[in-house]
Amino acid sequence: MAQLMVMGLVVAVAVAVCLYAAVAAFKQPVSRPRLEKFAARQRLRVTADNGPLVLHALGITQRWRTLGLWTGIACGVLWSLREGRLTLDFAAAFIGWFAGAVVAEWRIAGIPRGEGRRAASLAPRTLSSYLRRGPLVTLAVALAIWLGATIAAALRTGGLAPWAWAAVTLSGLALLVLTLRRVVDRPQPPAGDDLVAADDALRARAAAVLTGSAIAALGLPTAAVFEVAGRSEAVYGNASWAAIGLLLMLLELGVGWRLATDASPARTGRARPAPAATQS
Amino acid sequence: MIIDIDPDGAVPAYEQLRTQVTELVASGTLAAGTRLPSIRQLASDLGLAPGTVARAFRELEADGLVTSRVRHGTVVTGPAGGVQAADQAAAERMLHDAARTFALAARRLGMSDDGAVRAVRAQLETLPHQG
Repeated sequence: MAQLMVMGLVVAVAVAVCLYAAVAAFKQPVSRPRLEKFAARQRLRVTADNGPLVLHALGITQRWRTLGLWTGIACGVLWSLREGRLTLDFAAAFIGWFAGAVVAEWRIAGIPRGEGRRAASLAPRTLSSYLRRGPLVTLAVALAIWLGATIAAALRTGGLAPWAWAAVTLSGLALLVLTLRRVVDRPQPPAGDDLVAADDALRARAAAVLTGSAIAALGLPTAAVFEVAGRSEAVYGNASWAAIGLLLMLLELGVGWRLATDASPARTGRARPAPAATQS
Repeated sequence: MIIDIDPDGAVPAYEQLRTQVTELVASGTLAAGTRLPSIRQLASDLGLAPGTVARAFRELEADGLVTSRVRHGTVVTGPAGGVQAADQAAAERMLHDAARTFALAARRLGMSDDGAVRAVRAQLETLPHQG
């Protein structure tokens, strides 16, 4: 009974900490170091013209990604209680981060359009203008590994679990594709060079974070289907499959994090060459 | 290259879009092989329904000015032979009509010739050069 009460108390504290961190993130303004880090990563010169746009967008992404991260951690803690343990699930945290990044991109409106006549540039925008090939190739490799493991698990076990994971993963992939399309297609009316360069920088950062967090989030279904595939293993045993799945998950978490936080300047030729500089 | 649409104008938005792209192709500002933005992008930037932009693109394709292919998007094919001359003549006619409308407005308002020319020059300076 006492053990149950202690467990309940610990869970309540853990969930309260997550909730507090999430709420605090919503109130916190964008700090100057964060703005400078963004400018350096995207090789953008922040000026009086584009500053408000950058600060507004960074505020939205900071709030939603942090909320997603802490919600993922809280869900991971609660999920671990099913097995009578209290563990910190990094994969769940990254899935929450990905979900938060997706919500943030749907809430960013881009450069405001004025009243009256409307103008547009005839220069096409594509995903390759905002995302390098490396993250896309990495995502394709991670998906290929997951797909192979899913097919192996389905053939070996014949159960529904691999298909359930496939449905969840493909839903996440569809969400990623739709959100990347939204990032590329959201309105960019012709404006000053500084404003358009900042808008491009925000799009490039969004594409990098979405792809990186998606690779990290893919770690969980990959590990899960490897574990399922190992259930019918008579020769090497379940542990080998589960260990490979766990290693792959850790690798995907690390690579995804690295890609999401690495420099990712837009390739539209409009970035202003002033790394790590802000103009007051 | 910038295109400009008046959503409250008497001319339908798809027709404004079609006319401006036609003029850009006829003048050579949009060269053959130039890729146009996707329907989604243009509709989003101009705040129009995708169907409106799609209609303009369909008409441009019917005129032989652009070609649309899956995965390649919409590409300018360029004016073929007499089409360019015809479009240039049409563009010049439209320009003269617009100039006459402006000249009449200047007279009605009692503006001097110099004042009217200065007003045109000031407006031209606010717009980016095409090409």
